[in-house]
Amino acid sequence: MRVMLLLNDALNARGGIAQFNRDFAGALQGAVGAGSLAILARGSRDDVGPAPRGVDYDRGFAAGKTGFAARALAMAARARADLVICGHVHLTPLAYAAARLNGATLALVAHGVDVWRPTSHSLANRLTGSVDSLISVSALTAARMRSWMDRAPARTTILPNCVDLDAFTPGPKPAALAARYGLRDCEVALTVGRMSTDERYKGFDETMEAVARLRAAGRNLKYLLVGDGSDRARLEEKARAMGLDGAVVFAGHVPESEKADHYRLADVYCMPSSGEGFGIVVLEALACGVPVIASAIDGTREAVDGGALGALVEPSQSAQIDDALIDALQQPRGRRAGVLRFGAAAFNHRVGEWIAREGAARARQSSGLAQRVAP
Amino acid sequence: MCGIAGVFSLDGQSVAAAEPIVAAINGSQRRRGPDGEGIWRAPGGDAVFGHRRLAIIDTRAEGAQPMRDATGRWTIVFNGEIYNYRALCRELENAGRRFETKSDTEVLINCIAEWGEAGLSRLIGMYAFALYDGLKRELWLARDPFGVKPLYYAIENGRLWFASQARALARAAPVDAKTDNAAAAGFFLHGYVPEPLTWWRGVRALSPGCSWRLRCGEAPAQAQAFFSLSALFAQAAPQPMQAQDLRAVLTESVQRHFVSDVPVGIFLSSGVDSIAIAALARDAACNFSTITLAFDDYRGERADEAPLAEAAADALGVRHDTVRLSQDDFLASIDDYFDQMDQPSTDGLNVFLVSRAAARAGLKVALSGLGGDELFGGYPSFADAPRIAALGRAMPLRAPLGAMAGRFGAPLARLFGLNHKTPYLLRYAGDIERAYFLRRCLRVFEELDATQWADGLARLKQEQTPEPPPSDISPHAQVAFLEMTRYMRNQPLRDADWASMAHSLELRVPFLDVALLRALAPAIISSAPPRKADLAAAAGPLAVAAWQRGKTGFATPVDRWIGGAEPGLMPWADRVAARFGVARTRAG
Repeated sequence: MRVMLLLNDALNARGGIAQFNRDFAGALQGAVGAGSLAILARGSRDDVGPAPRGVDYDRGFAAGKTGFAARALAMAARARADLVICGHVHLTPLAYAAARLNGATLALVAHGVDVWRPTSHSLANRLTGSVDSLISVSALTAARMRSWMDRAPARTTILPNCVDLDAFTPGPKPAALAARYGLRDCEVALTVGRMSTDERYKGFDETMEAVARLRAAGRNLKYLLVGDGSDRARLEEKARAMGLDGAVVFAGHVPESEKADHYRLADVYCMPSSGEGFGIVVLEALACGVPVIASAIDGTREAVDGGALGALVEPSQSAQIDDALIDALQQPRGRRAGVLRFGAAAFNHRVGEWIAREGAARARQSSGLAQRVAP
Repeated sequence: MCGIAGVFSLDGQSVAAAEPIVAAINGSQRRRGPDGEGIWRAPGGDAVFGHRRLAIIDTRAEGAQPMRDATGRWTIVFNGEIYNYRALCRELENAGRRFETKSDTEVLINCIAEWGEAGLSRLIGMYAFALYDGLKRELWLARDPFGVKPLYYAIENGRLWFASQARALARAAPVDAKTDNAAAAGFFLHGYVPEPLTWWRGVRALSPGCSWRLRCGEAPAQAQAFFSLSALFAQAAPQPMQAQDLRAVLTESVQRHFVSDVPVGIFLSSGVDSIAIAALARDAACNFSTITLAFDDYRGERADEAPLAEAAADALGVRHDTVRLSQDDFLASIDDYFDQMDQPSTDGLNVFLVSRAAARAGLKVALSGLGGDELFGGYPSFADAPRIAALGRAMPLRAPLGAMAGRFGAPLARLFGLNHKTPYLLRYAGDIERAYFLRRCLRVFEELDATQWADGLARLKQEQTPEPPPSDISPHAQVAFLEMTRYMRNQPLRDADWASMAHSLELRVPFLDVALLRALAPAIISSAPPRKADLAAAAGPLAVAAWQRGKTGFATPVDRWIGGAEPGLMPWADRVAARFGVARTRAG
């Protein structure tokens, strides 16, 4: 099967979606072979990471909207794909055109809160009704998206994010990092994520407030925030206003090579979020053996396997967060076996199975047995 | 007694894939039911139900929900209690129905299965439920006559979402969750959001005493009322009630409210209502303990509930706890109180605090005197609203004078230290509904910034059109009607629900019993309606002593603690709204 993948981020960009794209592209390469995979990504000049070997990879550098569209159609013409995968809902019109051009199956990847409601692109929204196969990082995200799509896709597959279980491993608290942040001889709560003024759903505020309450109750707990963004200044000001100088540490953006050590610094990973599609960071914390607090109302619920791998809280309920923190801080650190289902091997296996199902669906279609059955 | 949630297909497309969203709504209602969780999908994908359980009756696993009946046709999620379920069960068994559990939930299913809509009129209890009929592919939603138990819904994209808490829908379901400016305007007028509006644009409340049958694949029909207070009052023949009859119907209700497989407590104040319930319960040999909330601020004052409540408990010979609260305790609880608040309200704090104390004392069920003031004319509005209404009728040139006073009177009233509503007396006089509004409101329409709230107020008038009181009944009965259908369901009952469920405590209200109300209706519309003195006399000497002390209601020192330049609860209301992201006046 020949596959064309359209991405809104370059493979080497930052963030959870790019991470998913890297894992996904790798798994696809394994499933169909590098020669059968073409990727067009909306990259930027700063993206200097290596291109995947043997893959037709176009980063779409310096292309405006029209230029990017032209490159997409050019790629569609040369790739002659059987399956066009749209990596972001905003690219649906292009992916639709590419799929039509090739008579290919159209698949769409749903990542998170951006598809929980109809997007601002009405054409993209309408064309989601032409998607044959929906891939979603969580059942919740799939359900939210399906609640507004004009027509439900024939097939929906849940493909949870995966985590590199060899890079993210449990370990002692790194002394040098603890010294750098002033986090020696205290308990540490950690949240990792982008700090965006547009989407304050990561749970930074809630966690900071809970840390303040627990400190007021005599607990020697500090809060480490990893990540950067437009909302950081406000969060820093809030920490100051709450008298949490020194107790709340902003690490900013952390290079990939230091990320695991930051998790190892934590006694609890706390993410009372309300709009997370899945929460790959939750998996990274779990892989590092850090007790996790996730949200009962968004995709992180699935990242802790419905509560089997971590505690669930309703983010607006401060008392629940306090209790969960106290509880988690009493737990020993250590990786739970259940996290293996989110490893790369499991992920690659799921992608392989999915490709096989798509191939079978095409075979059925071409043999005239096509049936649209709503699942 | 629990939290319910779900989705139903109106357009015929399967909603089976929405299960994770129902799980998220469940997650948002966790404090309502910590004992268990259930999710059920209709085989054809017509519906998904979710449930959080607080186990009270048949606490075994068989009582879990969503529950299917023995035939497999019906599936239910249900929040509340059916107090007469044992009697109904016997009746249904005689009619040939078979039961697999000892729960009121299964009785409720069979009641509808056997009698249809007419079954709702046989129920005595507090309830909100969603029932799926797999044969007809129908969804039934219904809510008890008083509105003790909440039920909210939202229709979006061919689907109907429902939940026990409005906020859970707004947070976790794909519905329009922007603030409704009509609801916000209503809040600043009343101190609560008037039904059927909710704080969120896409979310609405199902009216009390209504059932709503929706068919999969069809446009929603209108909800139907199976209970109407105005019809009850209009059709009853006025007839005062004798003391022994009153005692008998009250005792029956109190006894019914003791149906439970876990211990029951009574919230005791020094007022007549709660002492009457406790005395009647003791005389009926019910087993209970009592709990009282008292404030350090009131120690030694007349407002201190503790000494008299303790004396009453002592006289009753029951185990009693007094929980004392200080301003510091209050300040420490305030965040959790706001976190739990389902929709903005200026009330609910006392129930929140006493429920927490009761839950810590190990109680899962508590009886409250809520409803006593509405039934037995305890509020000042029973005297004031008819008086204000009459004032207008007797006066010539009321309209122009009233307009002038309303326009120019506010600064004068402030100057002379009069109540802020005084200048508006004439404007709101003349008719009992308006007079009642003036007596009850937080602020009158004229006191809300007309430019900022023009749209909200206009939509409020359009979308919130509560039933007027029947005109041919006594002023007393009209006020009772207004108290029950306006204030009570929108504030004390709604707040009592979230504030108690926040601590996984089931609050029961024996005065709000439909059988009791049917028995009392002829007396309420008579020329000698039952008053607090009659309630006290019916309940015995302890209640009579409480009545003679003249203490009514339950006070909290919140006004003292929060302070503020404006009168009463106005500053508090602004603070509540701010927590929900709305400012009454534009900044600057």
